[in-house]
Amino acid sequence: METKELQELLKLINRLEFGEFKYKQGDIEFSARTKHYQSPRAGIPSGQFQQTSLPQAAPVLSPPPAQAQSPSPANAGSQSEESTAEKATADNLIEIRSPIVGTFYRSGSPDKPPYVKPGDAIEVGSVVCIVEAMKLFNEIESEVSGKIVKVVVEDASPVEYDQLLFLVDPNG
Amino acid sequence: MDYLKIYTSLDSTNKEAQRLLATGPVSSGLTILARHQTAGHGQYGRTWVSAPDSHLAMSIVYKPVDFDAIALPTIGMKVSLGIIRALKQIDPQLMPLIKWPNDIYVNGKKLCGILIENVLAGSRVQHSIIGIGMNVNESQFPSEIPNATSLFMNTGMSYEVEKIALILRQHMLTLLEKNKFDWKNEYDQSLFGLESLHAFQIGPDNVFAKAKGVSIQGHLILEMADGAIAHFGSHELKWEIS
Repeated sequence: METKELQELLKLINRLEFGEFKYKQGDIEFSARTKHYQSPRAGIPSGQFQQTSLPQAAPVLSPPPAQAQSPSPANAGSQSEESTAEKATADNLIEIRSPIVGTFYRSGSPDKPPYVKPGDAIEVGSVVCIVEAMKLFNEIESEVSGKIVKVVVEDASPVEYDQLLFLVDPNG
Repeated sequence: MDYLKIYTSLDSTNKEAQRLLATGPVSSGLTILARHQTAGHGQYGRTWVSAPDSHLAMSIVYKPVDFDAIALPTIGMKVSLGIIRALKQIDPQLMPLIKWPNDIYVNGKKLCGILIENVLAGSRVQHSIIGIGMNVNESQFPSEIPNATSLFMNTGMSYEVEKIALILRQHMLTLLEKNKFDWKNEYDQSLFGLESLHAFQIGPDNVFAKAKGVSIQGHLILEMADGAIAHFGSHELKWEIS
């Protein structure tokens, strides 16, 4: 398996609505779980294993709160094959979506102002936020120019793959 | 060597890499080394200045080609494994382990920390700045950081920081540029806590669990006391290390 195939496989895992994926071929072995994953033990009383009470120990089992709050009509149904993170909405606003699962931050550090706020003009290449995952800090640059209309996600909330982050007016 | 820039003193090698990227073209593989770093990240959260040429502070700029953000966790894994390979080359007696997600431990103590900052345009990774802090020639640490160790404290040898940096660079870049996905078993086998019980703080609970590996999404896979297998992101658990 090569890097390109691995990337395609990971995208597929994120799009499909199954809970767990396991791969084994020769020496290569790996697994992945999605937000659809349901613990087979969920609902079983933890009994003698109270100390390790698993249900709340695995937050992956339930959708993060930010996802429930975020209106993402375009996220329902199937996604296009294109990997571009921007999509046009009905009222001609451009959406900036999260390219990864992680934690959304509006600024580079807690003592710094947000990269962007509603009304700000952005250019192609302007940093709009950080999505942190597994201690990798990812600055997200805009691929469009325009005006920030809405910041959809609260600072420091968990975000899902392809979750809506910003609405941008390209004519703003 | 135009791929290696050595500075007497820098605020942080990652910040210098950002400045270079902002002001002109930078080739993939450019490595920045600071003999003295004044504002490095992850330096135990306190101002602690080590003797010159004892601590290694470096950053590597890596520009992947046509790389989708979905596979970003593999960059962190390759960097960790590259450091493990480099340390084994420096001293085959060393038993370095990856304390998921971004520390390297030797004999139960922290030798090295990793801070990776990526820039994404949409879902495409433009570049990664891979920051490494490693304790090399320190003979002791202040009592406030009892969990730190250095190469010297493990081998009794002193090292040229620049030579160590080049060995690290070579192993990391070799793995990063490797197209074939055949290094994952070696990564899992290098995990701290693999198949042994360790204490973790998970939400409000303190639990004992065994690490089984890391998922391809970068999550730590744990076997809980009741035998259940659970995956955790880095914000969902903390190692409890005495």
